[in-house]
Amino acid sequence: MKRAIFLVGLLAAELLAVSFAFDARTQDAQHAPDSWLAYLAHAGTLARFLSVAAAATLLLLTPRLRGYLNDLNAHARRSLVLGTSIHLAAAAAFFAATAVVFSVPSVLTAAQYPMGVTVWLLTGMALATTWAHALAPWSFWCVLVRAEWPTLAMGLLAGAVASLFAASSQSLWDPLAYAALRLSHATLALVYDDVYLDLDTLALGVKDFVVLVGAPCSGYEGIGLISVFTALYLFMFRREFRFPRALLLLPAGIVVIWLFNVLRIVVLIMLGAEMSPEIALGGFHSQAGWVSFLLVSLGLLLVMHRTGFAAAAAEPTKRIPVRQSLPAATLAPLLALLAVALATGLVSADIDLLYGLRVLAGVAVLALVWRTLALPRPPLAWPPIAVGGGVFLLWILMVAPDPEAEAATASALAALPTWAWALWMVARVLGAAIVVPLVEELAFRGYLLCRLAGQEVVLQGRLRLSWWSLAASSVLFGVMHDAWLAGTVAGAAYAVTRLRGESIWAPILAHGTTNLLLAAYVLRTGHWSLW
Amino acid sequence: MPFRRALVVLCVSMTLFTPATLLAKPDQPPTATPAASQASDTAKLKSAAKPAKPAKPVKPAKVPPSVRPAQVPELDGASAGLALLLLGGMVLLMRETRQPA
Repeated sequence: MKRAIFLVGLLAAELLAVSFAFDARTQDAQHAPDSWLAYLAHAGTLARFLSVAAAATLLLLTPRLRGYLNDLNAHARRSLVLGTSIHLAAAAAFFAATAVVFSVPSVLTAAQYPMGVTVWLLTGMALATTWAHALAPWSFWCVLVRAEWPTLAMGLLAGAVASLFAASSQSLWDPLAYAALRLSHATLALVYDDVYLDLDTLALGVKDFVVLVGAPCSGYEGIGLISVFTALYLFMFRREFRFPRALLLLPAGIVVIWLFNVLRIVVLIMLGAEMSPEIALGGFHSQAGWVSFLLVSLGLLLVMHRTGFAAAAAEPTKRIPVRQSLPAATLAPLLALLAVALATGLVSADIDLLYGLRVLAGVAVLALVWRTLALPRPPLAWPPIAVGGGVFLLWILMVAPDPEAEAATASALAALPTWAWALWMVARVLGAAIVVPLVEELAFRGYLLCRLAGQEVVLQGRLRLSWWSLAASSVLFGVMHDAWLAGTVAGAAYAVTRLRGESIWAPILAHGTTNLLLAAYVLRTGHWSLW
Repeated sequence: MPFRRALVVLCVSMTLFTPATLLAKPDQPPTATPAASQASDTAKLKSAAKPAKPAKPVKPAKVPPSVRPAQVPELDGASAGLALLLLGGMVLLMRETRQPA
């Protein structure tokens, strides 16, 4: 199993490296449209087709996957080092061939391209076959293909259908944008007499505030996001729903989120024209789309579970109050803080002047669940404090200050009256040094670290080490920060602190130390972007 | 196990979201439809929006040259992590507070 995880991770990393390093679409401009070489521009499509086909095949194989994994384990004695070395050599050759064939400007002459593309294809096949051989001997693959050829064919078909659908869906960007523009215009015209509408540039606005409603504003991103979320949720928890009626939630979600996007454009224009262009183009623009997605997703979940429309009646459930569930109690404070951060972000420009509200929300929910958490008295231990200091040093080394953002923050703070400046600063420092470490550590090292390791949520006592849970919880912690890499490293340091400590207080102390030092550093140097 | 399923939903949503939408987003605004039909459409829109006024040729207001329109894409990547974590957390919270009766 470990061999399979390692090799799948290696292949994914190789393919990601190639896709980040080279852009096949540049070949469109390199070759004449009627030349066979123009097909090179579609190499990315081929990669996507293969990825979807592999995912579909694995999904179809799910009922028998455990048996095949057991077969793989039977071959675990084969040399992983030798197989991986040969594969890495093939991967290096493929990378080099890709660099030559997809170079911009081209390094090959027209006469050299047939040979270059042939070598590229051969190295690509070598990459695939050496990977397969490193994972299992040919006898395993022969048995798999003989037994599962209908499944493999279905997987390829699913990949082809998905690729065709993806390609044809590209043509919907423009009509959706035009429809969003027209509906937004019609809605604004109900309120304003003079609505600017320039259909040449797709500009829409009132008074002196005008925005471009182009393809990125079409609402297609929200449609994609809600479709994936709803489809996966229905699939993963399919036993809890009544089909086919539950499938109606898919188009319902699509329509609702598209209308929410129109509402977003209308409110954004009204906000910019009537209140503040800075807020409209700053916090509101940044958050409104995500708030819409969250509202529609949570609304769909409510319809799925709280109404008789889609929920299966076979398995009645009862709800446990958050205060009576330790796992829920570790999650709820962070969720309250994040929800308020998103909401206050809607009316923010350069800084979140309502930062204190998210601190209050975190404190309020912490107070609500404090008895459930049953935390011991916080100990004063030096190792977590040292870890916190180390993470602080890493943070200021890894995160580059953003002078533009810092100037904007400094200017916004300078414009505040003294009392508001002092209040904001107190909330910011107390929030960063006390409340944020508490709520984030409860969620990431209290809840996630345990659950990802397949354990019950415990806040006291030693935890069993699981590399997977350490890595995944750290990456998710990193995702929450703008500086995701530094955030991931910090998350890993706090996770190790929890694994070596006796309670959740160890990472809370480390995290609090980091944030306190960072607050002092930011106040001393004015590098607001590090906060 | 509900937790693992919910986590898979979150992770796959995040993964599929990138190729499905962000990478597919056109870099340039779409080309507008032919000017004549647009003008006609716009006139219809304006007249539909104001049924009480007497019928007279309505021209769409043009954007003053001094105004610079801003791009306002639907989703800002900067808030993606926070929003998806919040949604994932809400799903987990919901699953953790449900128990077979």
